[in-house]
Amino acid sequence: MQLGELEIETSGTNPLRLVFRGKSNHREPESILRPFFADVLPHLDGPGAALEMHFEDLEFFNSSTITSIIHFIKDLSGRRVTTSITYDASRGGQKVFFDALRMLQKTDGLLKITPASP
Amino acid sequence: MKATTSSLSLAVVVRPEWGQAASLRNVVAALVKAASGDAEAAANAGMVACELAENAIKYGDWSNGGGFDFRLTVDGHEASVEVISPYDAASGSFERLGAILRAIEERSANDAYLARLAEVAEKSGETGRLGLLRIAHEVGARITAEIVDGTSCVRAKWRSGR
Repeated sequence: MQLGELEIETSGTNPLRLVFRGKSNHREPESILRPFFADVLPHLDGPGAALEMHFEDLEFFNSSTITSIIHFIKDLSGRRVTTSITYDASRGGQKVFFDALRMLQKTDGLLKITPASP
Repeated sequence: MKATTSSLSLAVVVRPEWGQAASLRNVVAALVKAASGDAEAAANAGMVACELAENAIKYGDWSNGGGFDFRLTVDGHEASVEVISPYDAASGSFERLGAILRAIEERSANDAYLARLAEVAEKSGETGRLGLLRIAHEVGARITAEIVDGTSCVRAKWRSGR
Protein backbone atom coordinates (compact mmCIF):
# COMPACT_ATOMS: atom_id res chain seq x y z
CA MET A 1 0.00 0.00 0.00
CA GLN A 2 1.54 3.28 -1.08
CA LEU A 3 0.07 6.40 0.52
CA GLY A 4 2.07 9.33 -0.87
CA GLU A 5 5.61 8.97 0.50
CA LEU A 6 4.38 6.44 3.05
CA GLU A 7 4.47 2.75 2.29
CA ILE A 8 2.74 0.17 4.45
CA GLU A 9 3.54 -3.46 3.75
CA THR A 10 1.02 -6.00 4.97
CA SER A 11 1.90 -9.65 5.46
CA GLY A 12 0.99 -12.68 7.55
CA THR A 13 -2.28 -13.58 9.21
CA ASN A 14 -1.84 -14.15 12.92
CA PRO A 15 0.06 -12.15 13.73
CA LEU A 16 -0.83 -9.80 10.94
CA ARG A 17 2.24 -7.70 10.23
CA LEU A 18 2.26 -4.04 9.14
CA VAL A 19 5.60 -2.51 8.20
CA PHE A 20 5.69 1.28 7.85
CA ARG A 21 8.34 2.78 5.58
CA GLY A 22 9.18 6.21 4.19
CA LYS A 23 7.61 9.46 5.32
CA SER A 24 4.16 10.28 6.56
CA ASN A 25 3.67 13.96 5.82
CA HIS A 26 0.16 14.09 4.37
CA ARG A 27 -1.90 17.14 5.32
CA GLU A 28 -4.71 14.96 6.64
CA PRO A 29 -3.23 11.52 7.25
CA GLU A 30 -6.46 10.51 8.98
CA SER A 31 -8.20 10.70 5.61
CA ILE A 32 -5.95 8.04 4.12
CA LEU A 33 -4.90 6.03 7.17
CA ARG A 34 -8.35 5.62 8.67
CA PRO A 35 -9.73 3.79 5.58
CA PHE A 36 -6.59 1.66 5.48
CA PHE A 37 -6.87 0.74 9.15
CA ALA A 38 -10.61 0.13 8.70
CA ASP A 39 -9.74 -2.46 6.04
CA VAL A 40 -7.24 -4.08 8.40
CA LEU A 41 -9.54 -4.40 11.41
CA PRO A 42 -11.84 -7.15 10.01
CA HIS A 43 -8.77 -9.38 9.73
CA LEU A 44 -8.27 -9.02 13.48
CA ASP A 45 -11.70 -10.05 14.64
CA GLY A 46 -11.24 -13.49 16.16
CA PRO A 47 -10.14 -14.45 19.66
CA GLY A 48 -6.37 -14.40 19.98
CA ALA A 49 -5.95 -12.04 17.07
CA ALA A 50 -2.52 -10.48 17.01
CA LEU A 51 -0.94 -7.60 15.15
CA GLU A 52 2.66 -6.50 14.76
CA MET A 53 3.38 -2.92 13.71
CA HIS A 54 6.92 -2.07 12.69
CA PHE A 55 8.00 1.55 12.54
CA GLU A 56 11.77 1.05 12.36
CA ASP A 57 11.92 2.15 8.73
CA LEU A 58 9.58 5.09 9.09
CA GLU A 59 11.88 8.04 8.43
CA PHE A 60 9.50 10.81 9.43
CA PHE A 61 5.94 11.32 10.57
CA ASN A 62 4.25 14.64 11.16
CA SER A 63 2.20 15.37 14.24
CA SER A 64 -1.06 14.76 12.38
CA THR A 65 0.03 11.16 11.84
CA ILE A 66 0.30 10.69 15.59
CA THR A 67 -3.45 11.18 15.94
CA SER A 68 -4.20 8.44 13.40
CA ILE A 69 -1.86 5.97 15.07
CA ILE A 70 -3.37 6.61 18.50
CA HIS A 71 -6.92 6.17 17.23
CA PHE A 72 -5.97 2.88 15.59
CA ILE A 73 -4.34 1.61 18.78
CA LYS A 74 -7.51 2.48 20.68
CA ASP A 75 -9.58 0.54 18.13
CA LEU A 76 -7.28 -2.44 18.56
CA SER A 77 -7.56 -2.23 22.31
CA GLY A 78 -11.36 -2.17 22.05
CA ARG A 79 -11.22 -5.40 20.03
CA ARG A 80 -8.74 -6.97 22.46
CA VAL A 81 -6.16 -7.47 19.74
CA THR A 82 -2.71 -8.36 21.03
CA THR A 83 -0.59 -5.60 19.54
CA SER A 84 3.17 -5.41 19.33
CA ILE A 85 4.80 -2.16 18.26
CA THR A 86 8.48 -2.05 17.37
CA TYR A 87 10.42 1.15 16.74
CA ASP A 88 13.97 2.35 16.16
CA ALA A 89 15.27 3.88 19.38
CA SER A 90 18.29 5.28 17.56
CA ARG A 91 15.94 7.71 15.81
CA GLY A 92 15.46 10.38 18.44
CA GLY A 93 11.96 11.32 17.33
CA GLN A 94 10.77 7.73 17.38
CA LYS A 95 12.18 7.08 20.83
CA VAL A 96 10.52 10.14 22.34
CA PHE A 97 7.17 9.44 20.71
CA PHE A 98 6.96 5.73 21.46
CA ASP A 99 8.14 6.27 25.02
CA ALA A 100 5.20 8.66 25.40
CA LEU A 101 2.85 6.19 23.73
CA ARG A 102 3.45 3.73 26.55
CA MET A 103 0.80 5.71 28.40
CA LEU A 104 -1.72 3.66 26.38
CA GLN A 105 -0.45 0.39 27.80
CA LYS A 106 -2.81 -1.23 30.29
CA THR A 107 -2.43 -3.97 32.83
CA ASP A 108 -4.08 -6.42 30.39
CA GLY A 109 -0.73 -6.63 28.59
CA LEU A 110 -2.34 -6.50 25.15
CA LEU A 111 -0.16 -3.63 23.94
CA LYS A 112 3.60 -4.00 23.90
CA ILE A 113 5.90 -1.24 22.72
CA THR A 114 9.53 -2.20 22.37
CA PRO A 115 12.63 -0.88 20.63
CA ALA A 116 14.05 -3.03 17.87
CA SER A 117 17.13 -5.01 18.71
CA PRO A 118 20.26 -3.21 17.54
CA MET B 1 22.37 31.92 3.05
CA LYS B 2 25.55 31.71 5.09
CA ALA B 3 27.10 28.60 6.54
CA THR B 4 30.33 27.86 8.37
CA THR B 5 31.35 24.92 10.52
CA SER B 6 29.96 26.66 13.64
CA SER B 7 27.03 28.71 12.41
CA LEU B 8 24.31 28.56 9.85
CA SER B 9 21.54 30.87 8.79
CA LEU B 10 18.82 30.56 6.22
CA ALA B 11 16.08 33.02 5.34
CA VAL B 12 13.57 32.23 2.64
CA VAL B 13 10.04 33.13 1.61
CA VAL B 14 8.06 29.92 1.20
CA ARG B 15 4.97 29.35 -0.88
CA PRO B 16 2.07 28.15 1.27
CA GLU B 17 1.67 24.81 -0.46
CA TRP B 18 1.57 21.66 1.64
CA GLY B 19 4.45 19.95 -0.12
CA GLN B 20 6.76 22.84 0.75
CA ALA B 21 6.76 21.85 4.41
CA ALA B 22 8.40 18.54 3.53
CA SER B 23 10.79 20.34 1.19
CA LEU B 24 11.80 22.68 4.00
CA ARG B 25 12.31 19.75 6.35
CA ASN B 26 14.63 18.09 3.85
CA VAL B 27 16.61 21.28 3.20
CA VAL B 28 16.93 22.22 6.86
CA ALA B 29 17.96 18.71 7.89
CA ALA B 30 20.53 18.55 5.11
CA LEU B 31 21.99 21.95 6.01
CA VAL B 32 22.27 21.15 9.71
CA LYS B 33 23.77 17.75 8.93
CA ALA B 34 26.29 19.36 6.58
CA ALA B 35 27.22 22.04 9.10
CA SER B 36 27.32 19.93 12.24
CA GLY B 37 27.67 16.33 11.14
CA ASP B 38 25.09 15.49 13.78
CA ALA B 39 22.25 13.35 12.37
CA GLU B 40 19.99 13.76 15.40
CA ALA B 41 20.42 17.54 15.44
CA ALA B 42 19.57 17.52 11.75
CA ALA B 43 16.43 15.43 12.25
CA ASN B 44 15.31 17.64 15.12
CA ALA B 45 15.78 20.85 13.13
CA GLY B 46 13.95 19.30 10.19
CA MET B 47 11.04 18.28 12.40
CA VAL B 48 10.74 21.77 13.93
CA ALA B 49 10.88 23.37 10.49
CA CYS B 50 8.22 21.02 9.16
CA GLU B 51 5.79 21.42 12.05
CA LEU B 52 6.00 25.22 12.08
CA ALA B 53 5.72 25.38 8.30
CA GLU B 54 2.67 23.11 8.33
CA ASN B 55 1.05 25.37 10.92
CA ALA B 56 1.76 28.45 8.80
CA ILE B 57 0.27 26.80 5.74
CA LYS B 58 -2.79 25.56 7.65
CA TYR B 59 -3.58 28.67 9.64
CA GLY B 60 -2.11 31.60 7.68
CA ASP B 61 -4.36 34.00 5.83
CA TRP B 62 -3.56 33.31 2.19
CA SER B 63 -6.51 35.20 0.73
CA ASN B 64 -4.09 37.72 -0.81
CA GLY B 65 -1.55 35.15 -1.96
CA GLY B 66 2.08 35.57 -0.97
CA GLY B 67 4.16 33.33 1.21
CA PHE B 68 5.56 33.01 4.72
CA ASP B 69 8.97 34.06 5.97
CA PHE B 70 11.05 31.17 7.24
CA ARG B 71 14.28 31.75 9.15
CA LEU B 72 16.66 29.16 10.52
CA THR B 73 19.61 30.07 12.69
CA VAL B 74 22.14 27.74 14.25
CA ASP B 75 24.93 29.32 16.25
CA GLY B 76 27.00 26.74 18.02
CA HIS B 77 24.51 24.73 20.04
CA GLU B 78 21.78 27.38 19.90
CA ALA B 79 19.18 26.76 17.19
CA SER B 80 16.06 28.66 16.27
CA VAL B 81 13.34 28.61 13.66
CA GLU B 82 11.08 31.59 13.08
CA VAL B 83 7.99 31.57 10.87
CA ILE B 84 6.11 34.74 10.01
CA SER B 85 2.80 34.51 8.18
CA PRO B 86 -0.20 36.74 7.49
CA TYR B 87 -2.82 36.41 10.17
CA ASP B 88 -6.61 36.56 10.06
CA ALA B 89 -7.83 37.74 13.46
CA ALA B 90 -11.26 36.23 12.80
CA SER B 91 -9.86 32.71 12.50
CA GLY B 92 -9.13 32.37 16.21
CA SER B 93 -5.97 30.44 15.39
CA PHE B 94 -3.70 32.71 17.43
CA GLU B 95 -5.90 32.25 20.49
CA ARG B 96 -5.62 28.47 20.10
CA LEU B 97 -1.88 28.81 19.74
CA GLY B 98 -1.75 30.93 22.89
CA ALA B 99 -3.70 28.31 24.82
CA ILE B 100 -1.19 25.64 23.81
CA LEU B 101 1.75 27.78 24.91
CA ARG B 102 0.05 28.51 28.23
CA ALA B 103 -0.47 24.78 28.77
CA ILE B 104 3.26 24.25 28.29
CA GLU B 105 4.11 27.02 30.75
CA GLU B 106 1.58 25.98 33.37
CA ARG B 107 2.51 22.29 33.34
CA SER B 108 5.64 21.32 31.45
CA ALA B 109 6.23 20.40 27.84
CA ASN B 110 6.24 16.74 28.83
CA ASP B 111 3.03 16.90 30.86
CA ALA B 112 1.22 19.05 28.29
CA TYR B 113 2.22 16.65 25.50
CA LEU B 114 1.11 13.57 27.43
CA ALA B 115 -2.15 15.27 28.38
CA ARG B 116 -2.85 16.02 24.75
CA LEU B 117 -2.05 12.45 23.70
CA ALA B 118 -4.51 11.27 26.35
CA GLU B 119 -7.18 13.62 24.99
CA VAL B 120 -6.63 12.31 21.48
CA ALA B 121 -6.88 8.74 22.76
CA GLU B 122 -10.10 9.41 24.65
CA LYS B 123 -12.00 11.15 21.86
CA SER B 124 -12.14 9.46 18.47
CA GLY B 125 -12.84 12.70 16.60
CA GLU B 126 -10.04 14.59 18.32
CA THR B 127 -7.33 15.79 15.95
CA GLY B 128 -4.59 18.37 15.73
CA ARG B 129 -2.97 20.70 18.27
CA LEU B 130 0.01 18.40 18.68
CA GLY B 131 2.69 20.09 16.55
CA LEU B 132 3.84 22.76 19.01
CA LEU B 133 3.62 20.36 21.93
CA ARG B 134 5.71 17.89 20.01
CA ILE B 135 8.36 20.50 19.30
CA ALA B 136 8.50 21.56 22.93
CA HIS B 137 8.56 17.96 24.16
CA GLU B 138 10.88 16.30 21.65
CA VAL B 139 13.60 18.91 21.34
CA GLY B 140 12.98 20.93 24.49
CA ALA B 141 12.25 24.05 22.49
CA ARG B 142 11.03 27.24 24.05
CA ILE B 143 8.24 28.54 21.82
CA THR B 144 7.02 32.11 21.70
CA ALA B 145 4.46 33.81 19.50
CA GLU B 146 3.32 37.33 18.84
CA ILE B 147 1.18 39.32 16.45
CA VAL B 148 2.99 42.17 14.71
CA ASP B 149 1.34 44.34 12.05
CA GLY B 150 -1.16 41.72 11.01
CA THR B 151 1.35 38.90 10.92
CA SER B 152 1.81 35.97 13.25
CA CYS B 153 5.40 35.35 14.29
CA VAL B 154 6.16 32.00 15.91
CA ARG B 155 9.66 31.19 17.16
CA ALA B 156 11.15 27.99 18.52
CA LYS B 157 14.55 28.07 20.19
CA TRP B 158 16.35 25.00 21.45
CA ARG B 159 19.73 23.57 22.28
CA SER B 160 20.96 21.67 19.28
CA GLY B 161 23.37 18.82 19.06
CA ARG B 162 25.71 17.01 21.34
